[in-house]
Amino acid sequence: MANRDHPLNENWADLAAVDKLIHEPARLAAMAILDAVESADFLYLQRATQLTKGNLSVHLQKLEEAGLIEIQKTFQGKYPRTLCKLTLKGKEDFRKYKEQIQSVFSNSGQAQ
Amino acid sequence: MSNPIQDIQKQTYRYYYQDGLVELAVGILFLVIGLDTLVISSLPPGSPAAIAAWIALPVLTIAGIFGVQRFVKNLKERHVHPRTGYIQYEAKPNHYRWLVIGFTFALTISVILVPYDWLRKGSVTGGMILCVILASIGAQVGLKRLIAVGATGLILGIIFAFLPFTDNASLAATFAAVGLILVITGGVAFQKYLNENPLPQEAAHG
Repeated sequence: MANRDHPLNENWADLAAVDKLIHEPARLAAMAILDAVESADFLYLQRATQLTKGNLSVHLQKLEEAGLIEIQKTFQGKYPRTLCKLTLKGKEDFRKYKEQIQSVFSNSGQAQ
Repeated sequence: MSNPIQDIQKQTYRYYYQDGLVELAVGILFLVIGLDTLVISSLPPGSPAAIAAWIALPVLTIAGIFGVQRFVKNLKERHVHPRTGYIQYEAKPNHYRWLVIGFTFALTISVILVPYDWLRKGSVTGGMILCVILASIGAQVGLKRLIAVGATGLILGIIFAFLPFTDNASLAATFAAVGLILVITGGVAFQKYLNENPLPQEAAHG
């Protein structure tokens, strides 16, 4: 049973349980964008997150390796286009992440 | 307190309207429909020109609806996607849209039932409907200029109701005026977008 005076009480335990892969701000921004749309290309994600190409590529690769997003390389006319979209697992994990974060803040509000 | 997840998602929805192309296209459609209706109301009823203008109205409206989509898609592919990226939006049922349609319907019925003649004028109803539609889109995506255009449409509708126009002419004038305002705001927004977002050297990420 969690001790209210202990630093690692229930709120901290809730916070510790959130998905660290999604919780990182750059990846969280990319996930939030992709959760709102069918798909978005690399250029849009780069501008919206304000990351460098290299940095964004690394973050997207991590999300892809975890099975949270799909990356498709296509062509629009003569230009290459890198399209990203959330997988079903990505949608489900992002929904769980939002619930956990909301629960942390609503519990911390009650504690005050 | 702002929610960063909601903020970035709202920005994603706003992106579709931000460059002004939708306003420009819808503005041209409203302007054409409004001008055609003005021509109808100014011609002698039953004259060949009036009949031709009547026939042209549904043709222009239907062709215009498809034309708007094509116009926006082509210009976005050419000017917007290479500059600031591409988003494919989800085609999911939008409960908010049904709420707006229901509210607009209720508003129209209530305006018809009110005892004041000027409120029953088509231009007031038209102005209210345009105001509800534009302001609701503006509020949903956080684009204040759409709310301002919607409010201007309502004010113009009320002003035209007091001018010595026929009912059709005042409604047509409201549509044409809102169309002209949308063309101007959309054109200015698109020009600003092009200035602020030069085409990247490599045009797209590989």
